[in-house]
Amino acid sequence: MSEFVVENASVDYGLTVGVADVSLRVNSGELVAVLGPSGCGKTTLLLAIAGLLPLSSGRIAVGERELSSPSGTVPPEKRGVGWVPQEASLFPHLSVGENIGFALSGGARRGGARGRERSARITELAELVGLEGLVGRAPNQLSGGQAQRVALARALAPRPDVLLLDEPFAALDTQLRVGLRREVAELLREQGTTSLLVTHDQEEALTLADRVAVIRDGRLEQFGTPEEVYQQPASDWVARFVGDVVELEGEWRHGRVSCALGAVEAAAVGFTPRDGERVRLMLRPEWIVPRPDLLARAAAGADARVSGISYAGHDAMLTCDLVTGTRVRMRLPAVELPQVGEELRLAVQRPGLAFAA
Amino acid sequence: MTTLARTRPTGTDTRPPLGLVMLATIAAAAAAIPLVYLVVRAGGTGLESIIQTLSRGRVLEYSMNTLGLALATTFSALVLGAAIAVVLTRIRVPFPRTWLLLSALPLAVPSYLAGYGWLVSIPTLSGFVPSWLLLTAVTVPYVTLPVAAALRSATGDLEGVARSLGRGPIGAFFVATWPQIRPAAIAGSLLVALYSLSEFGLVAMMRYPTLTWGINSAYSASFDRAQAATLALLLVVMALVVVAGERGARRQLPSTVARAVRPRPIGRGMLIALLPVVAVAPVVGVFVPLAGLATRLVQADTLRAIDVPRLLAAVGATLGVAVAAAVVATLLALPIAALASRYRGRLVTAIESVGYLGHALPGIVVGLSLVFFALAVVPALYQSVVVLVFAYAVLFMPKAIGTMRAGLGDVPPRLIAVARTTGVSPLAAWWRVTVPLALPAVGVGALLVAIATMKELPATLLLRPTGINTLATELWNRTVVFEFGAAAPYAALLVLVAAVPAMILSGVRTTAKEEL
Repeated sequence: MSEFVVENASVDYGLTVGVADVSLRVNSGELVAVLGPSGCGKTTLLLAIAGLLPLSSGRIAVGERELSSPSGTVPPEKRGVGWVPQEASLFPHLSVGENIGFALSGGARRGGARGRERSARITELAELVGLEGLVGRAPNQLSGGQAQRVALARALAPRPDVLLLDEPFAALDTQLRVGLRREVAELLREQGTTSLLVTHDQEEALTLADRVAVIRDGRLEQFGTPEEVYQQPASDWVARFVGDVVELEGEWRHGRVSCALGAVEAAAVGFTPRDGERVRLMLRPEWIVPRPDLLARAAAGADARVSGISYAGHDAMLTCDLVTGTRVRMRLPAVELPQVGEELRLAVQRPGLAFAA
Repeated sequence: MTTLARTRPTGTDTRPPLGLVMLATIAAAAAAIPLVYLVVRAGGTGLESIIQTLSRGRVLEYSMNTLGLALATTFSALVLGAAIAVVLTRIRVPFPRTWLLLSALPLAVPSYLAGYGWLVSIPTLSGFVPSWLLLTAVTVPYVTLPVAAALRSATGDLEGVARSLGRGPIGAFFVATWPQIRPAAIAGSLLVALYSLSEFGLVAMMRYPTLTWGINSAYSASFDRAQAATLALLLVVMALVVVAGERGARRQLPSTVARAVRPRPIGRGMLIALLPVVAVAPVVGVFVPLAGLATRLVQADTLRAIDVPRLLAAVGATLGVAVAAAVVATLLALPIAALASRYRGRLVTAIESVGYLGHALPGIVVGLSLVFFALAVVPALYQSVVVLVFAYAVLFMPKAIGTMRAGLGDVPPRLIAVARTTGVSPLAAWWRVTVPLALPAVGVGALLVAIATMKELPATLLLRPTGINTLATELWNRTVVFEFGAAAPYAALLVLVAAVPAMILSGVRTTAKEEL
């Protein structure tokens, strides 16, 4: 199998959210999450990849084989692109087995060598998604999670080059969702299926994907590994969208930002600041840590008083008032937490991000 | 993201395909022929002659009788239907499913059959009161069913809240519940009004002269066909006003999502007092007439006089025109339903509305207009089965459009898209997904048309070719000359081939709707 390429793709038409100039190169067997808020155009991108929407510019290809360009769209049935829709969308008049075997030639009733081959493949796929006992059931007898498994098996049946998953876990309850998505990601990696998972859930994207494509208003904001997207966001918008941020006003000086937390080491994103320039410092809450060993008045720290604790079991979010009056939030593992009112000496344990003010 | 499935299944689906629009337009144009031609014909007689016709004393009497009967029936059906609906939904009755089916039964019986069934026992029945009572019994399900559905989805806790705030039971009902069922009740009673305006067989048997009766007699006295056309136009105007009102009422239907209110148990004495309210319509509209029919049928002189070949000919003709009408109506309705189920826009709405015209047109009006049309435009087809079947198709197309539109609309466009991504061509996807999913609805639509055709009377009387008689016309011809015994076998067969399937179908559909 070969690389899956989306090159400067735009989808532009009147009513729905469009896609503008998106480029993605997905390696064979890779699981890529397409992450963006509702209405950002990620489903539009998915429909264009599935061949259900034409491109207004750019191209979509698998290896040398071009699937979409402004001059033509290979029809959905000839693209080798599988689709697992959000609501499973099983054919209600067909059994689970017939749904899984929908794409397989050799009708169920025909018998013969092809029929046997077909039912063997159905059994194999049903086992793969863990539904071996349910082949004869009707779709309306399935739970939400089971229906999604059938939809996955149905899409995998014709061995697609690329598999598209459109928020397949969104309709499930939290506990089922976490388990099923981990299982599906493992299954896709085992099968070596190149997959695109559309989601608006940051945690889902970061935990499951090899790489994450962040989309905003139809444009690709960043395409990178989960660590890159979280730790080195390409813009302040990505930083805010992908996780919690602490924002502080400050002044740029020799690779550091002087702000309420002291002189914090930082990397400038998207611009080259001059010394003395006003900048915006962004930190993740867990980058701020209590450092009792740091001396008061040391350049790299600040005194603070804990004003609130929001406890979440595995960790806790602390709200701290700095002596300057600024308020910051920090995330601590909930092993040994300070009390409200306690005084702390805070420091930043890794370089922050400086954005133009 | 979830809205996408609704708004944009695939990128090419925004504009309806030209071929489909053209087919639907042709079908709608066909449905418009009776009304358009009636206007042309009545207009052709000149304004002066229209005014002259309308100012005759008889016309005023016909109009007053028509309106009076429609108003009285609408009011009594509204009150009785609302009461039945409240009993069925708010009070715990034994065998609730059976009572519900029972309350829908009168829909299956043609009103003139109910009239015949009563005349058999009491041949002196005539005039306003029996017409009104029988018509009420037959039409009350039009109110009962939608109001019961609305009551089920209404938040009945509101009524409890009103009671706890000091309102009496009746006050609480009007403050809390009535506003929630009002749209359904109004839409249902306007259907009753429409049915009453169009009613022909029953009022003719009861010798109560309404506009339909006037149209028929003006037409039969063939020297004054212009007068028949003018009266028909007057009736159509009344019917269109009612239909416009019904559309308006339907649009207000609120979509409440709420916890269903559990029926309340009441004392046995109250129950015994209330159940007759539910039973009165099926008893008056179905059981008494059927009992009258059955006793007359088994009398020796009736059985001896049965003309078997003639009876079989009528059965054959009835089934034949019913099947033909079902096929033609389905074919005409299919493009309109396909268009309306997938696309929006002014053009689509206009085409669909025209397709529904038959719903508003009284059968006698369609019959009369097509007589004129055939004579003037296609004289070769005058008094042929073709025009008769066409009349049925126009009259009952709305039934086919309604069910087929719902059936096709229930096939999610996303399923077709999914099918194609698994490697299936558009045609194969249509065949393997759309067709099997929509087929039951198409079948039900065709069946509804066939059943309605078998029961149709006034248009058949006007349009049937000489020598061809359906069960309905045979029954009518004998009843109007008081040959109740000779009419009995036709009535019995009509019950067998039309009313019983209608009962089964309406039972299936009522319970299916209730189980949603």
